[in-house]
Amino acid sequence: MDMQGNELDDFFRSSLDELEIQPSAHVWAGITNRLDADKRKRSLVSFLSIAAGIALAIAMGVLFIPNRVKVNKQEPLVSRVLKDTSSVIKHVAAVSATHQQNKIAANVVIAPIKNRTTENTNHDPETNSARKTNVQQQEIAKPGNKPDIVSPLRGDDLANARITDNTENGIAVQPVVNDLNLVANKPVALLAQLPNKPINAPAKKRRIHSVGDLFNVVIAAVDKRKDKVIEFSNTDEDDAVITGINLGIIKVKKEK
Amino acid sequence: MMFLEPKFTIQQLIDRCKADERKAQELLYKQFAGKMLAVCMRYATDRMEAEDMLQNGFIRVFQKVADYRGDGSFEGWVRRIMVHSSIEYYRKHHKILQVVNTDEVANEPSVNPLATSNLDAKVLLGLIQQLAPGYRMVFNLYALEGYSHKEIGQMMGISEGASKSQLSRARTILKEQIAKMEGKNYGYAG
Repeated sequence: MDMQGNELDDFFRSSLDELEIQPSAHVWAGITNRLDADKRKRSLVSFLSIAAGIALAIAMGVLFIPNRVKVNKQEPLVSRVLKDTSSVIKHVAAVSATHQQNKIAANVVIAPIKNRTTENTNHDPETNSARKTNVQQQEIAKPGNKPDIVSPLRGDDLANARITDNTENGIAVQPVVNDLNLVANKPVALLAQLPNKPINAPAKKRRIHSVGDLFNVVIAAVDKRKDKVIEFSNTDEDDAVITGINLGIIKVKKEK
Repeated sequence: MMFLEPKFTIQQLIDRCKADERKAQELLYKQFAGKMLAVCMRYATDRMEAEDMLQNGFIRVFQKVADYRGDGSFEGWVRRIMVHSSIEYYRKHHKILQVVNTDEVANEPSVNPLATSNLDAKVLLGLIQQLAPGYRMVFNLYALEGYSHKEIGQMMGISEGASKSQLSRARTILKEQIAKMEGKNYGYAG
């Protein structure tokens, strides 16, 4: 009777299944040597990783320490005007709400200054405090009162605006800006310095239009210096072209 | 659960090996080394090759022990690693497989199964080791490990047909060898 292929396989499998052969001692020694080497390698890799991390942190620190920028102690005039103008908007709005409840009709007009020469008579320092209280009692911009608003309430207009009250003491024009201690001594001169364009127009929110913009935003989050470590062009047409490099010692900037 | 020493089960040893404890690794090695060397011997030409396969296999076991999730027996998991270690060794050292045409193995010798049953396991192991490397690998993987020809083809980088023909040739050679030994036995007995 011939043995078939499968029978031969089964015969070998069953015969060899329980076989055990003890290896030489050097096999285990070889295993431990290799495992120890792996352990040393892992330790070295982790040590190098930590060392590289520290070195990188130091390098980044040196590169990105912001240069000492001279801080102008005196705040620019325009920014002060902007702050005060924004606060007057809030103030006037609050006054308006209070007076609307009392249903007091008054012909209060906010209008831009037409003739600055007349203002000079109204702006002596002594009257500033009195006007301050008057302004707080004014009712303005109530729809039913049809206020004579000549131009939109923008920053420059409001800064130039006067509150006219015909119902009380006959003061024809009251400068809103007086209420803000904005112009202590020379209001007209100050106002004259205001630019013609709306100075407090809200800053246009920058949007990310290109890859260069994205890089610039990310870099700006890390590098607070004026000249970033690397700057990219932010036009839609270009690819991310490097327009400036600032490595502390070396500065390269492409003028726009 | 198998107990190796009064203190430790296999599972405890595995857990300690995952923590990279050298003593636990040694105990685990001692537990399985004998069986696994016997497995490697089937794939090797000699004991030296088999011990190389065993060493590489156990290094892989300890490197990958954290991947063992407990699906199936640990011994089976170790055994599969040893088989793959053997294949890797084979591919590194014996790149050319001997491919034979199946037509060449038409006349298979007649073997009496009753006679083969008396053969010692180490003698059978010797017969396998005498096979050409390609035949040996395919016979081991198919007959002893239970892989299909498709799987063997993928593991060895050969076609399914080549695997079949190598198995057929290996079986023929083994039967011839057994028949010779059978004849000697009869001769010796007679």
